[in-house]
Amino acid sequence: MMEESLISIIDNKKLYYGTSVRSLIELITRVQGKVDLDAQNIFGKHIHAFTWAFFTGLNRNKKEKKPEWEYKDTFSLGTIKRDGAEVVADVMIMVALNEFEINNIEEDFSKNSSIRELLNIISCYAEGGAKYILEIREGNDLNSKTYLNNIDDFYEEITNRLD
Amino acid sequence: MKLNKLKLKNYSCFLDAVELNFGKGLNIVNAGNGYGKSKFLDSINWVISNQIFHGDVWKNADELDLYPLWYTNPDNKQYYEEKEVITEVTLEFTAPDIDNNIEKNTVWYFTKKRYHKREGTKLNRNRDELTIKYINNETGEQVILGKHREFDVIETLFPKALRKFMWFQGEAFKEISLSHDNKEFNKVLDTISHYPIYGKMVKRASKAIIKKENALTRLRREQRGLSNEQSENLYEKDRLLIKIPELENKLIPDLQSDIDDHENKIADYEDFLKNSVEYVKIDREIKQKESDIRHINQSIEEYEISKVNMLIKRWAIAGSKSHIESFQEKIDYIQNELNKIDNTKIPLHIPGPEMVQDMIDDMKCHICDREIPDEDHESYHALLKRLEVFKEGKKERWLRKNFDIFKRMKSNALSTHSEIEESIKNHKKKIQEKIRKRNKLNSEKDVFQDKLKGLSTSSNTTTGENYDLYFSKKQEKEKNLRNLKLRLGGLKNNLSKYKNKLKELNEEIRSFQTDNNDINLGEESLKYFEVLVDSLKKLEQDAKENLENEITHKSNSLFNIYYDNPGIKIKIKNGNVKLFDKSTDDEIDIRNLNKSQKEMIKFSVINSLLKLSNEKLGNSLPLIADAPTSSSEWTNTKYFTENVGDNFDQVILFSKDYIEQCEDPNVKTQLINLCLKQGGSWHWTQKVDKNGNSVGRKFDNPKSDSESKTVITESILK
Repeated sequence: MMEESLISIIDNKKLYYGTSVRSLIELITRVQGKVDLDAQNIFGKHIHAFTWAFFTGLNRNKKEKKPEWEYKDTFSLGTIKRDGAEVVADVMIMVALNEFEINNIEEDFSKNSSIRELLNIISCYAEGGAKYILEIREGNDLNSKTYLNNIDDFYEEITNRLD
Repeated sequence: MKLNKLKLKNYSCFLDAVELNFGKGLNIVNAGNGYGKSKFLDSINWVISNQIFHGDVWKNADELDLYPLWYTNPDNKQYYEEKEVITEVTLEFTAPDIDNNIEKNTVWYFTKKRYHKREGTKLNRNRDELTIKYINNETGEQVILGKHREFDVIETLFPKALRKFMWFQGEAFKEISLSHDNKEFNKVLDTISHYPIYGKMVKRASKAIIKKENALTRLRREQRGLSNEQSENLYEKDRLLIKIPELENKLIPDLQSDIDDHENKIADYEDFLKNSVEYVKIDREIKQKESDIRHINQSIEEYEISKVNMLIKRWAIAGSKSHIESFQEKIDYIQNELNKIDNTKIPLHIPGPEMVQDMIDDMKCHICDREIPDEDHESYHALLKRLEVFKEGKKERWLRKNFDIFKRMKSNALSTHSEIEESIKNHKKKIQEKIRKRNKLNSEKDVFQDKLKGLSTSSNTTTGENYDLYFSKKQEKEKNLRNLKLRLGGLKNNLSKYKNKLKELNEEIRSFQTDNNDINLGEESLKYFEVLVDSLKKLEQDAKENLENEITHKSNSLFNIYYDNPGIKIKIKNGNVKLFDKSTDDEIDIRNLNKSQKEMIKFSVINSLLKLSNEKLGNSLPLIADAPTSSSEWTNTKYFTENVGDNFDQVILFSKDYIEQCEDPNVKTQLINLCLKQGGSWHWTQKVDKNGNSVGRKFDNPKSDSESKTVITESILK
């Protein structure tokens, strides 16, 4: 019988991500590998780019099929929570749990594979969202090429989600 | 006179043969900037006078290249390989048959060719050839005019003084000053009036008087018994007769011309500085607006950056409400699991799960110390059942723990979602307010920029950097002018003194009693000469005044036609153009008028000269104008266009001012109808590349002259 709550088990496992999220990290955060000199690199941490990618994927319904995860030595949902974004991490878990079919809660979550499956749902949305953003930037018109170079674009995206 | 046809081939931006046919009345040729508008007029000047207005001065056309640059571009293979190129312009006029019967009109053909030979990439001018032909009205045959007659024919049909006002209206403005004596203007007055004949007669008679005076002085000197005083008087008179003409004919006019130049230059500087002051003022306004816009942009950015943490740590969940609500299913699932658990409570006195596990392991009850016989025994089953109850309790606690966490997560997320909805909306509102402010500043900036553009395209202007330079130049000229005027005053004073002295001397000399009949008769005849000169001078003055009154009258009536409700009266006096307020009669300082008013006043005066030339010379010259309304608002351009045709037998306007307005098809139709109704024509030019595709203005692409040509895309003739 597990003693730990399901959420704390989930919180402590690392999230995996693929190449698209990695590129987005380089594009919109000030962390290592700042590739795009024109971009504003508005965020400070990997987790911010991951979060942005996840919610973009979720709202645009862009969920990548489970890819090979190139990046496994990463961060956990707990890291996101400790960064002051508890509610953001909670919503990610809720989305993942909504899509996870529970047969026997106790048995299911006593296995590492189930926790990974659950976290993969989050990673798939993040990868899908990041890929979507990168595709936009490859578009031909000027606005596309500079998409997310300006802080306005982030606010506009958020505002549009509420309209 | 009417220009029927202008045909250009290999002239400047006109590559192959381009032909414009004109009717009487109003003709409009629409051409944007850089589309060759002025080249049409240059081509006319080339044929008639071999002079082209280039870079602000009239230049001998021999010094200028006239062939299309298209021929110098290796990409235009067929043209680039041409070894010989001929530039050709033909003008077809209906004009008086001055070779035979001036009363009748005939058709004149003026064809000028320039032969070029290729040397490498360049084409070199070989020779120019002018041919003038006309139709003999009696035989109907074409007659080639003899070379010796060409100069006379051109001068008679297109008098030199009038030509520049007729062909090149834009530059004619530079030739006529509104505020100072103007030589060019006076030359036109001389050409179209008869008073110069009086002037010539005065000159001739004055010369005769001097000659007679000299002869008389000689005779007097030859007389015997002259006193010292009488001899000195005669010597002094000789001296004055040299000095006075020198002052009158050379020193004073030269100095006056120097003064005119200074005044013109100062007026130019004043215009320049006035525009510069305006320019600097507007430029400052624009810079202020730009700084305000930068400030707002910065404040938007700073505000947004200050909210970045909020954006990624809370606002990111915007739009996830339905997912949060769906999470209720998982909460319900745990609730369901909890419901399934037997809620039998384990009494407190019952040993804990570890002790029960020990008892099962030891097969012994550690409370009563009795052995459990075997695994089928009732007590063993009782212990197993008890252990199960303990396990269920643990599961329930775990489930309940997760249940509580799930519920809290959902509730937190939902309330956060509502909060962020509100704060995102507020954020949007704040940003929108700032953006609105920025847009307002941007449109204010646009207005100033348009003003600035108007200033820089409408006149010579400069940025603040040159302001000081021009200001000091103006001061220097003003200082020189003061000195020149003092000198002029001195010279005029001397002249007047010398004239008085001469008069006194003459009286004294004439008072010498003499028996010499030649001297006495000579003295008598001189008096008649003097009366004649005075009368001629009076006639000259009257004729000049009459002509100036006529020009005044005509200029005012044209100005009323060209400019809607002008409120200004034009008066020509002593070769100067003066302006007065219509209602108060106060003289108006020309510098206080706007550019459009100034240009229309000049236009009115110049055109009144053309109009009068028709009456005085019996030769109705067409008005061919290059961009006459470029400084005017559309209302005035329209007013001018509607009325200008009524005053000339033929008006040809090369202009860009109708292009934008013609985007409205109704305006275009009205303009075309206006031209056709008067018997005129309507043309449209376009610049195209070698594939016939429209290209931008040459200012946008410096190479475009070698890659593009001007073509006529629309020609409507009644």
